[in-house]
Amino acid sequence: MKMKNMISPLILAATAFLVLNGLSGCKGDDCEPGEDCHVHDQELITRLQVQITDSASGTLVASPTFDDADGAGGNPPTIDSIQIMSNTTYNVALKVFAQHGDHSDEITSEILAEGDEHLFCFTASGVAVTIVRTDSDGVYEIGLASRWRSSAAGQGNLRITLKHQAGGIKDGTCTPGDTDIEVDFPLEVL
Amino acid sequence: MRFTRSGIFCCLLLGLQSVWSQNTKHCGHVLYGMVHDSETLEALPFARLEIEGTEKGAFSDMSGEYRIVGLCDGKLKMKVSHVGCEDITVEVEIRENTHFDITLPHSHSHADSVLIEDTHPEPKSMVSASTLDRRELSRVQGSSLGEALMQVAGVTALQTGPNIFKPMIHGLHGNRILVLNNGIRQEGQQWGSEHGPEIDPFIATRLTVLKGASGVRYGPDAIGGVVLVEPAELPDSAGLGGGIHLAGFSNGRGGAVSGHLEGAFTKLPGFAWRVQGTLRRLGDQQSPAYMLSNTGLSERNFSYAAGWSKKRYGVDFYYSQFNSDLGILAAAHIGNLTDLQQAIGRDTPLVVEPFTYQIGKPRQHIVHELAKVRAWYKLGELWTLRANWARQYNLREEYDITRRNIERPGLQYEVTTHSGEILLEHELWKHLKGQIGLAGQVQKNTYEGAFLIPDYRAWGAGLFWIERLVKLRWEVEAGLRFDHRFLKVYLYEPGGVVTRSQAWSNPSLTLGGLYRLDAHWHVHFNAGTAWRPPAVNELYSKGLHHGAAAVENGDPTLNAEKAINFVASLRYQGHEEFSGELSFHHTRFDGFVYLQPVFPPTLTIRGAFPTFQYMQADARMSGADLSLSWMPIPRINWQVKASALRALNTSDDSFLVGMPADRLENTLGYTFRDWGAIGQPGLSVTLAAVRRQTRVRDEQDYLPAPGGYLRVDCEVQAEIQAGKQNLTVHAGVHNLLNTQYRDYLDRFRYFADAPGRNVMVRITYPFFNPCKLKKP
Repeated sequence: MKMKNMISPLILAATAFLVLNGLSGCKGDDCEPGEDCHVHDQELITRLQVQITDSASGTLVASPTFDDADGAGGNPPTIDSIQIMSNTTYNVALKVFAQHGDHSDEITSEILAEGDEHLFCFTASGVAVTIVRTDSDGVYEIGLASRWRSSAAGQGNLRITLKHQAGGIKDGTCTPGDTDIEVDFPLEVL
Repeated sequence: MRFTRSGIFCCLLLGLQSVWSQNTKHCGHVLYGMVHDSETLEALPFARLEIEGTEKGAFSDMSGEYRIVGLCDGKLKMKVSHVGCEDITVEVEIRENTHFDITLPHSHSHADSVLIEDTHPEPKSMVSASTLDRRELSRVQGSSLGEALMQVAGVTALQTGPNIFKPMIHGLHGNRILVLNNGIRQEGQQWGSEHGPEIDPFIATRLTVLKGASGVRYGPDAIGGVVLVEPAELPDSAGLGGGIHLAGFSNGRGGAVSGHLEGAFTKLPGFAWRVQGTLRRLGDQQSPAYMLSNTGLSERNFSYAAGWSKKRYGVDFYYSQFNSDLGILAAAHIGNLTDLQQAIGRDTPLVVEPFTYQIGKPRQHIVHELAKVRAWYKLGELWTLRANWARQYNLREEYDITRRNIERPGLQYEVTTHSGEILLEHELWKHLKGQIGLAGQVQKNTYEGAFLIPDYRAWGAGLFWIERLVKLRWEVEAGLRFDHRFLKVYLYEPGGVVTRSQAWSNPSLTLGGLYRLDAHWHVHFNAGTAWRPPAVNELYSKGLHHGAAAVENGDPTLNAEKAINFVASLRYQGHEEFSGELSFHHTRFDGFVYLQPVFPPTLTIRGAFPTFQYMQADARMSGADLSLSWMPIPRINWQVKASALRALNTSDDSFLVGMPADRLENTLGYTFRDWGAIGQPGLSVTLAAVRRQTRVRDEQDYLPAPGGYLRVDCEVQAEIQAGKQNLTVHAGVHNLLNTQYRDYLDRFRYFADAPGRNVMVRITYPFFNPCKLKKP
């Protein structure tokens, strides 16, 4: 009888413990260091290509590119300079690429699809080039397509910025949101 | 014998008081001290001391000193008699070895002489130690661990907005201090300044801060000090007890609920259990002028423990889980340097939205799990063997605002740690008390998403020996330790996985002592060394740290960081009217690891980012802490806490950045007379003054250090008799005047003000469920 009295709370306690253990479980890492079961994909934008087409002839004249295949740090990026003729009108298309593992994919169409969250901004300095965005998300411009009009020859700089303006904050200006791209190209008007 | 219907758990209840206050009994403690004559203050030899209800006792020797050995935890009554003096009976609480001085009234001259007693537990360590007990913790319940620790002079917190508080001891944090959760080194992820300790403060009934190098006992990383998070021992007498803790906050419109239930059975002596759980929820917090959008918090924690303890051996098991989701201030999200320049130094943050409980992006999801088994076995009167093993799993997921709205963390780290310790302790033997220990640890880390630190495995082992010579007036402690650490990292290079291995070995030493000038004045001194191997982020981080908008590059050739630390303190302990401590500390670093800005900035497709390189330099830090409590007239209490710190990189004579500014806190309290069922109602006002951190050059930071500030907090408190229990109520207002300020140690001071006025209510209610035995 005495033994039985002692054992019942013991069993009870043991059961309670098993239940609690079952409820909480033991969490664990299903990966081992160095094992290739990781998602290391950061969807980092690594390349911006500026496709410049002469509006009169419709021919592609140049595709200067900013390319940083290994992302921030590591090897420095390569930056082409943009060369256009004076007093000429160009149609420009921007192409954006992201590094997926060891190859890069074009994501321009994704940006277009999320056009209401994205805006490209162009700032020329040192030389006069008038840039007008020619596409739209339905309400505001996007900037993947634009028309550039040069005047006098000169040398300067063109900053192309891609703002990510998610959550209904896009208002047509470059102020709100986070910066996904901010690249300075040397700009020569010949 | 049969039990009533509620009675599966039922048991003979000895009353809550015993469940509440008595712990698993530890015996072998020593009670010692001096006996004086109250009139002449001369030592009294041959006073007779008897512990009531036992046969234990002693006589004081020629110098008035006495010593009684083999005592157990708990309160005891001691009768003291001496020829020519009146017999007295005193009550002493024994927790560890206890020093207790007695002043005997002289019956012939002053029959009404005051009996002066002095008791203090044996110091845990010779470095300056401060403890927050159950009572002090009830004043800060519902806050995070790092916030609660700021009650201690010399302890600040490196803050990331209103929710993340990383404890800082004398300006050192992260890998330079250790947090011991329930006796186990907390192995979270220390490589980010926005990583708070993953611990529910409600599990603790005592928080102790050791302010000084404690590398010998606790191993690498304990350079600046150690935080001990100590839960109550499991109950040792049969019964069922528990407690409910509530906290409500107006700022954030939320609060915390925590409860625990514990018990032991008459039918199963030696077995005890406890379950505990906490919920915390806060919405967006508010600064005086605007909402701090996306600063909500949701926390769900629980723990359970069970133990089996007998006279000669004991074993217990503990499990805890911490789950937290917290929002990161929306205005602090930045894509590149231009965004940063736009976001910082504004009067109003870039993003201010109406109040919500919703936690949006960016946010952190954190899980920490601890399972622990601990056992002890008494090898005889003198020796005890202790062993523990623990497994910890830490998951950190950081969700950022991404280009595409993918529901996957941008960054995920999982750290799994197994650690064990074997300890051989001996009780006082010829005035010597000590321990020899062997500690080991195995850790692995994996990441998914963005690269910041690589996968790694780490192994560590340490062997130490500490002895303490305990004399009546003085104690000396010396210790020695040897550690070895091994690290293997796995780097994903274009050609495949590349591994690299590194190892470090280092001895640590400590020598400390204390001297009791008299019953009240004590002097402590400690010199200790501590070290840490460079952390994996300091060695291998490479790339953009988005939260900081900076490129951080590690250096795999870094050496171990070594420090020697000196602490001296003067303590006055005794009367209710006055107590205080003044301590000085000085630390010299060999190979202090820090981030040095390097040029040119790194050019990326997101623009140019400021670039920092992990480097090493010699450094020096000195400072002082003061805490005082004074009752100039009855019922009025004045408390002072002050700390000052000077930190210098001695290699290039520059200031170390991110160090706390000088601060002074004054609290004036008034305790009213008991009023009916309301006991000890009190009112207090605290004035916290923090100076501007002037010891940093403007070009060392994005923005100059913010100005100093004055903050007023106030509080009323009372103990209300509710049935057989005392309900403790604290109601207070933090930042009473809704002062607008930014603290230098808050990383989000760039973007927004500190939270404004916060009305807080905290209630603690211990309870028990009586189970009656039915007469047969």
